[in-house]
Amino acid sequence: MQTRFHPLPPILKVENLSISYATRHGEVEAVRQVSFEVNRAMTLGLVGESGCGKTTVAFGILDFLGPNGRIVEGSIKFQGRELVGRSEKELRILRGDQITMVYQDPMQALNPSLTIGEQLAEVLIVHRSIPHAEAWRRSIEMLERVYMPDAPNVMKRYPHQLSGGQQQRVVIAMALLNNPALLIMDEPTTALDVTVEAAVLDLIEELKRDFDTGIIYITHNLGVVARVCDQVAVMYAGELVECAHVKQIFAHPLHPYTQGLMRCVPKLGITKEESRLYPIRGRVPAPQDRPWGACIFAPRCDYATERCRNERPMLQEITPGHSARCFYAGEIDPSAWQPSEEIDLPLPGTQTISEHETVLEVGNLKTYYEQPSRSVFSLFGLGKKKHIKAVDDVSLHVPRGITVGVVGESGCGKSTLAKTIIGLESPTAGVLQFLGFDISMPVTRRDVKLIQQLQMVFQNPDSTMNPAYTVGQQIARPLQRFKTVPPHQVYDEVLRLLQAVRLDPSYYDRFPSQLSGGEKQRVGIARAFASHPELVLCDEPVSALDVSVQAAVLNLLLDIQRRYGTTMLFIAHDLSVVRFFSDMVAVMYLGHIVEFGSAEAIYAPPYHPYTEALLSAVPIPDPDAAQKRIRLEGNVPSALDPPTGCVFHTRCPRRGMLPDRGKVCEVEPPPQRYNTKEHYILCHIPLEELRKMEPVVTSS
Amino acid sequence: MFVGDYMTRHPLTVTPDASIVEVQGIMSENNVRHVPVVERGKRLVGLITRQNLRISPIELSSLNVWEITRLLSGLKVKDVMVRGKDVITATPDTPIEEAARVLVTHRIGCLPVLEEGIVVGIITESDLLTQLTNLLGLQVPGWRATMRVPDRVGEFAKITAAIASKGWGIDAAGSLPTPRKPGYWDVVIKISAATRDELVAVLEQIKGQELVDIRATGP
Amino acid sequence: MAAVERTLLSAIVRRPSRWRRLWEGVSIIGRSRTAMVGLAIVSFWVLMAIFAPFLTPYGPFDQDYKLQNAPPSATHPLGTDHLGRDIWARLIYGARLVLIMLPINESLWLPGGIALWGVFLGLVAGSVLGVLGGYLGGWIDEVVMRLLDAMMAFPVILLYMIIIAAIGPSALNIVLAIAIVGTPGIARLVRSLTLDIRTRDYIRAAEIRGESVWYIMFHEILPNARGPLIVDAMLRVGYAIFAMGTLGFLGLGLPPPSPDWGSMVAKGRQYIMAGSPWAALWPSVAIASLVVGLNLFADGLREELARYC
Repeated sequence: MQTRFHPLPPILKVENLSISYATRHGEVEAVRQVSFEVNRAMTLGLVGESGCGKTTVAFGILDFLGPNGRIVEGSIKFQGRELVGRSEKELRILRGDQITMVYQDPMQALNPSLTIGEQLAEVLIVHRSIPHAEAWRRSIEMLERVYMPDAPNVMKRYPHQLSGGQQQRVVIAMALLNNPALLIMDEPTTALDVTVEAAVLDLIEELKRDFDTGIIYITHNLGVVARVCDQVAVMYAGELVECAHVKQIFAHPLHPYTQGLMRCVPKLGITKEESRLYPIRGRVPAPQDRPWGACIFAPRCDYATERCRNERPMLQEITPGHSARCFYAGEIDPSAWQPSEEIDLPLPGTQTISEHETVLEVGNLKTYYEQPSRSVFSLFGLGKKKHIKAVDDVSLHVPRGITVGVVGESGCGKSTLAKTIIGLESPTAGVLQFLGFDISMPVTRRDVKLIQQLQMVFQNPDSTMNPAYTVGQQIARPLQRFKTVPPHQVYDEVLRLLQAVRLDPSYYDRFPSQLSGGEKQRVGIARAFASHPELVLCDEPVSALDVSVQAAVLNLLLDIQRRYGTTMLFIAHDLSVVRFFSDMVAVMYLGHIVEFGSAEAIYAPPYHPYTEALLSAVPIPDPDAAQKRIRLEGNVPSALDPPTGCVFHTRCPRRGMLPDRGKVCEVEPPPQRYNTKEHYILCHIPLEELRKMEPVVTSS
Repeated sequence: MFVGDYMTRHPLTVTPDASIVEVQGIMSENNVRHVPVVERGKRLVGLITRQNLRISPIELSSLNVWEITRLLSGLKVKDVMVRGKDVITATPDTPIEEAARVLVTHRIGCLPVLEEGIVVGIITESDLLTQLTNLLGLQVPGWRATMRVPDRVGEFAKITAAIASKGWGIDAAGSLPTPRKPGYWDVVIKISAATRDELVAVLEQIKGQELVDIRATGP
Repeated sequence: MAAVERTLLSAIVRRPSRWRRLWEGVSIIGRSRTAMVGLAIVSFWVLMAIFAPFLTPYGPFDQDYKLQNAPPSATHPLGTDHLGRDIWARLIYGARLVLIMLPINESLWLPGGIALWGVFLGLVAGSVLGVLGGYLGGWIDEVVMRLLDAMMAFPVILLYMIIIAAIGPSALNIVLAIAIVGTPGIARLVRSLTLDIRTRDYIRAAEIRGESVWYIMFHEILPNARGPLIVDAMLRVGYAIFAMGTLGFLGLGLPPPSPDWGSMVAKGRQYIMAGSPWAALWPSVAIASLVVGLNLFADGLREELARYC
């Protein structure tokens, strides 16, 4: 970074921007008087929960507001020129030429019927009138610039032939081809695996430096913010509530909302015994219910006074470069904060784990899917059958009352493992016992009593509930089916369950479309716990939720678990959440459990090289924490044809620790090395060597 | 040390059809003196500087206030700019000293940086002067020592060897022939790892050289 | 104790009545102008059909030998046909057959017209086949879908003619024909909806509750297909009315002297050139307006459903 004696003009200067949409409720203000600046080689993070207007701001800059949205007031100055009020034609030239956008879903930006090359080259041909051959050459250069392996060949492929991470790289390459002054990224890594996300974040950081591009980075993930952003603007309900340098925001959050957000996320390394998550009570008000002459956060704020409810605070600079929209910013001491009585916290204390009672016993479990072959021979049954080895030789012992976390990238087989246990898939081989009974058959052939003891919480709040039935009907169904309570008590039991998941009895008659994501997830939890199950599988139960809702749902799960003494299998990709929530953790890679042990043991050396890479990829919500930088290369190999020997050897960054560059890894399956009685690592590298590794994360 | 490394990327640009009133606004608001004029695809068609915007009093003397206003509001960028072929440009791989020579010989303040006709940046006098300060280590606090050395091979090595033997690092260095004293060179080095006394002690021991000046510089 | 708690809790819960929810559902129609226009046209015919005996002094079979092929007049608002029957009376009694009553034999009739019954039966058969194929998949899906494909390969009108020719023209048989012809289309629609719905987590939840296949198909999946199905059914009622008209025109409709719109057109056709187009014009207008009305209604409904659901 070169120093300058006079500051360069900002790339983008947004002042007092207000945007509103015409809806059924009349004109609704989605963004209210937002101001910020973006400079060269700077990343501005726009942070906040969903519905806070982050994306609307981005669309306002690009003038993508649609027929019912409009900019009410304010100015957007890009490169010194005012954008508000420009004609459609002028703006269209600017977009894609000097301002580009990267979306969460790369397929939104890629045309499935054109090759990558055609799409990339077209950008240059259209916007820069560069001849085709030259455009093609530059596109390949740009693909190499974003570390796309085998770039010339990728140019000839179609988008669906690439993995999600590669697609996102193509989109980023496409966005940078024109050398734009401003790049807007809307949750570009949210849909990616943590290891891929880490690589893409590194890339963004590097490109920002090399191209001097100003970046607006929209995200809800505080860990990502800490890693890539220089300046952070926190948005709440359409207003900018705090704006500062990333280090200041994390070290001294001034606005109560920012402080609340920080308390919602589990830091990597804290556990449920020693710490709690504190959700922010209430929820983001709908745009039509936002007060004008008051602090918009007052209803959820623990420090709100009469003044906050009658007067609107302005964004004021509290310390140099750090401004907040709060009357009491700077006076509030977050360390003296006490949770108000209105938020629900789980019962303190730990639950009893009985080591002797085994709830679930998985032994050498294999679940293979048959891959239908397309060859002519297979029509006659002659073709060789191919198998996708989704779960391959997994053993797991789950004592009563424990929470076992399962982590791994997508495609590692964690969901298949859950499906096999729950009975939606049949195991190919191996032992599967639940409460001492064999459950290696599909759910339809299991005894009702066993089914009742084994329930599941799903990931997607929008599809977890049947839209045709009311909340009450859906919670009542398992009660009726398993006859948990006599028929005349079903109604009372449903209300009791609603209470247990902190929902008002008035929710009984609501339909799913009337609930928020967090509420739907609560109903899903109530439904799963209705039959008092012994074991509950949670498949990414919080990954689709906002941080504050996530904290509340985690607390709820913890509370119910402690109350009922339920055993849980907790599948997630967020290692901080797993660490917080689980007693034991299993790390899965390509159908194998490569490391298993207590949560503390997993997060400290000795590590399996894969665990080490995963941990170093987790975005930590602390810009000062030092984190080792280990990046895995390539994609997860196909489970159709897994690598021989150790399945991880194709990507292992630690093979060099073995003599002969780890020849043995390619040939022999690794041994289970026991670090302690409960902690084992599946690796050829001796434990002594692994123990010498330094911890991945050291917080300052 | 090429133009590509030190230029300002994403310079402010204007289109040929913009009114000069608007351009004046942009220039004064953002405190810039040169604005490349581009058409679609960021292709350079001209350059606007403060001089272009200045209208000579003789032209205006015969006009009244209203006519002046009309004249000004009607003027477009393309009417006053330096035309495309007359604009002197650089490429990202031009060495910075070459860029500086062009600026000085043509008595101009900036060079738009082009890559195949497309504006990728701009390099100005101030950018080059900023790099001069970097060259002599103004950006780090420390000691700036000037050594007067005879014009012989191996004299610079003596200085570096003496400093390296102490385990210090040289933050910046530059040398020029001593003005008005033929046969000698002035070498400026910047060191932040040592104290003044330590540094003076080491430098004064170098044979055949003279410590002319030592002072603290830095931001 | 429990009883007390129950009453307390019940007091807290404010349960919106079923009617209120139904009204909310219906009220979305009001937001679409298209749907409202369609609804007005359809309602017009329904009301005419219901109150037919009060809206004309004539019966559908009353003949006036002195006044054949008469143009509209004060006594016969739409004129008379070649047998001197009042066309208005025959039209509105004909609407009854389409929309209000299904004659089984001389003395017995069921509420709901031929078109409605035909579509309803087709809906039942199509939904069952579609949800079976879509949810169970495998060879059941193959067999069902190939059979239905084979049926769809026939031109619709040909299929109608084959069926009616095989089982003979009567009100009940026309119902059957409409049902049979409509089934493949409905089954395809339901199947594609099922393929989407079966991937949802709530279906997983039902499966891991160990619910029976039937419960999942008819309680979990079908209720969620209802929006698109209602829209499709509306359109199909329109097609059915059209088909009835065609069959009547071809002489395969209700046996005369029933006031069947299609046969009215067929008979009236002979007198168009003779200077009295009324007998052919009015039933054609009736068929067209009802079909257009239903289409508008369905279109409007579809748009609103897509917007709010």
